[in-house]
Amino acid sequence: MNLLLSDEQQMIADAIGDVLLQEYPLDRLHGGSATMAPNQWQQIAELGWLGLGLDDGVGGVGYGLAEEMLLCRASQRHLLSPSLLAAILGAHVAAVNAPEAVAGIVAGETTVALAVPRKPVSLLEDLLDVELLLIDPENAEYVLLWDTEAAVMLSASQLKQVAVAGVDNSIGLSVASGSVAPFVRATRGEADIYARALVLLAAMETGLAEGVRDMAVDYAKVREQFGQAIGAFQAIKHACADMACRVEAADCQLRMAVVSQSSGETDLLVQAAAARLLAGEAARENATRNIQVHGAMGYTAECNAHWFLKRARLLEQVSAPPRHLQRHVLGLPVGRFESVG
Amino acid sequence: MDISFSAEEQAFREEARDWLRSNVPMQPRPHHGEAMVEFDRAWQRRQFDAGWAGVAWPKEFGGRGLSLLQQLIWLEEYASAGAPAVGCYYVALNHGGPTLIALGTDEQKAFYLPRILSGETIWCQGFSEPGAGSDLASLRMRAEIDGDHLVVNGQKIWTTYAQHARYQELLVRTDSNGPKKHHGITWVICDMESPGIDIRPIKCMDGTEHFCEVFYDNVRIPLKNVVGDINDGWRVTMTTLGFERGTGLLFDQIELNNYVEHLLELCRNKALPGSVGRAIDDGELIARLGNLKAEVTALRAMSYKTISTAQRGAPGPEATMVALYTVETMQKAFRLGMELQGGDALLLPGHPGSMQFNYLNSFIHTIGGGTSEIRRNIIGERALGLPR
Repeated sequence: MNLLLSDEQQMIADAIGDVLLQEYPLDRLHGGSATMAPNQWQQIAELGWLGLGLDDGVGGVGYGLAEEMLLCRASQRHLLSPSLLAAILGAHVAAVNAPEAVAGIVAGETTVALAVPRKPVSLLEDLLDVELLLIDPENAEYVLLWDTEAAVMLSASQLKQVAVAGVDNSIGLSVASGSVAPFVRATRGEADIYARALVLLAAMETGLAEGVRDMAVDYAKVREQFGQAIGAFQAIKHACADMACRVEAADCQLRMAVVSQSSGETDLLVQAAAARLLAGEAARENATRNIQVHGAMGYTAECNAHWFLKRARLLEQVSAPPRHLQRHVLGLPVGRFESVG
Repeated sequence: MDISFSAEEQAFREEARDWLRSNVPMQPRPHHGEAMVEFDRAWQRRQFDAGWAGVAWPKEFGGRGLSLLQQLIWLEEYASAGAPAVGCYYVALNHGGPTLIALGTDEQKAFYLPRILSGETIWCQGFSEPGAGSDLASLRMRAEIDGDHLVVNGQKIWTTYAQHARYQELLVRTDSNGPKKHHGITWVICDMESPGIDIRPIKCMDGTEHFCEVFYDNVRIPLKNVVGDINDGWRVTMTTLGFERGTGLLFDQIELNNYVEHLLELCRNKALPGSVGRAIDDGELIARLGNLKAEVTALRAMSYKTISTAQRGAPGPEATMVALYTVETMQKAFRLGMELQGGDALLLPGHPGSMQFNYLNSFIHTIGGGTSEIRRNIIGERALGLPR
C-alpha cells in the first residue's frame, strides 16, 4: 500500500505542470479565451496528453487512469478548456467501436465537446432525440455524452446549434438539438466511461480547488490591513486552513479511487463517487472563499478569482449531479432513465 | 500508487484477525468508574499475555515492533473485530511510554515500560493548567529543587483519568526567568500516590467523570524521575507529539464508518420525525448521509496517505489536517444520529455506546488534544506558511 506518486508519475506531473505554466498563464483569459486554437491542440497532442491512458495497441501512450488523473488535475489550475476531458474520454469511446476515429482525436485534429442534456434521454436508443448545451463547441466535430449505461459521440454537424452567452465566459456555449443516430456508442460493459469520468472530473475539481487555495494564501500573505498581512488574522487564516483541508480530503480520496480502478476493486463506483462529491464541494467552496479573501478586488473582472468560480459551477453540471453521487456512495440505486451525461 | 498488500502482510492480517476473533471481549466497555478500569485492565492483560501489547513499541522494550503497515493492518482488524478503545491506557501506551523509549534513562525504561505493557499501571497527563490551555507553554506550576527532589506546588486541570492513574507525565515550571516561556519547563514522572496530591474529579456534560483537577501541596518528586534535562521539558513534549505517523486515528475512523452504516440501516427501517414515510426515501436526509459517507470514506484515504508519507520520513502538517477533518466529521455524524431518532433522542439509555451518549461525548473531540481552532492555526502557519 502506498498512496504517493511513483517517481515516474511525479516526473509526468512535473512535466505537465511546466508546460501549463509556460503556455497557459491565467492572464491569457483577459481579452482572450480558454478555447484552444488548432495549433494548441496539436501541441498537447504531440506531448501525448490526449492518449495518455489509452492502450498503445489502439494508438494511445499506454499509461493508465493515474496519469490521466494527474493531467486533468493540473489542467484546471490553469483553466484549460473542458474539451480536454471530452477528447480523453472520446478516444476511449472511439477505441471500443470506431477505432478509425481514435487517431484524429489523439492527434488533436478532431476535437470533441462535452454536452449537458437539457431533457432526459436514454443513450441506449438507436435514434436519440436530444436537446443539449454544448460546452466550448467551436470547431468541435463530435459531441460526447454519457450516463450510467452507455457513452455516445454524436456528429456535431447533425445538430442544429445556436450560440448563447454562458456564465463561464472563458469559453463558448451553444444550445443544440436534433434527432440523431450516434456516430459511436460504448455500453457500460464495453467501457466504464461513467466511473472513469467521475474520477477525472474529481481530478479537475481537485486541481481547481488547489489553484484557488494557493491564490487565496498568496494574497493573504501580501495584502495588508490594520498594519499587518491579513493572513495573520484567524478569520482569514482559518478560512485558508479549511480550504487546505478540503483539498487534502479530495486529493486523498481521488488517489484511492484511482488505485481502486487499477486493482479492480469492486467498490470503484463508491470510491469514485466519494472523490467527486468531495472534489466538487472543494472546488465550489474554495472558489467562493477565495473571492471573499480578495475583498472588493475579488469581485472585479480583472482579478482571476471569478474564472475559477464560474468553471467550478460549469463542471458541477457535467455528468452525475451530487444527489446521484450521494446515492452511489450509500450503495442505493439511481433512477434508471435519468440521464447524467 | 498502489493499494495492494504483500503476501506477508496478508498473512499477518489473518494472524491478527484470528487472534482478535477469539479474544475480543463480548460485553460492551463500561464508560466510567472502577468497572471501566477493570475492563480496560483485563483487556490490556489479555493482549499482553498473547504478545499483542504495545504493537508499535520496539521489541527490545517488550513491544511487538510492528512496521507501520502492520500497525495499519492490526488497527483495521482490531476495529473491525469490535475491540474496545485503548481507554485508560492511552497516555501510557501512546505518550508516556514512547517518550521514555525516546528520551528516558535505562533505569526509567526498565522500571516503567514493563508495568505499562502488562496493564499494571495507568498513566495520566499533567499538562493543562487553569491559565494554560491552548497556550500550553505559558504553564506556571512551580517546582523548586530541594536536594535530590523537586518540590511541586500548584494545580493542573483537565487531567483525564487522574483518579485511576498511578503515574503522571507532568510538566512543571523550574525556571521563570528564561528568555522565552518555552524555556524553563521540566518533564517529570509523578507518582500519583505521593503525599500532598489532591484529586478532584470534574463532572462532564455526558455525566461521566472523565477528567479531574489535581492539586499539589509540597509534593516531593525524586530528581531521577526527570526525563530529559531540567528546563528541557518543552523539547521532550514536542518529541512525544511528533510520534504521530498516521495510525493514531484509524480506530476512530473505522468506528465512525460503522456508525454511518448503522445510520443507513436505521434509515431503512425508521420513519423520520414528522413523517410516515421511511427515512431512506427522504431526499434531503439521503443527501446529508451521502455527503457524510463520502467524508468518512475520505478519512481512510487520508490516513493511508499520511502513513505512505511517514514511511519515507516524518509526515508533515497534513497529519493535523487529518485530525481536524476526523473530529469535525465525527461531530456531524453524531448530530445526524440524534436528529434521526426523533423524540427518542430525549432518552438517555444507560448502556455505553448509545447514540445519545456518543453525541454528548463528541464535544470533547474538537477541544481535547488541541482545539479545532489551534489545529487551524497550525495548518495555516505550518502547512500554508501564513504569518503568525
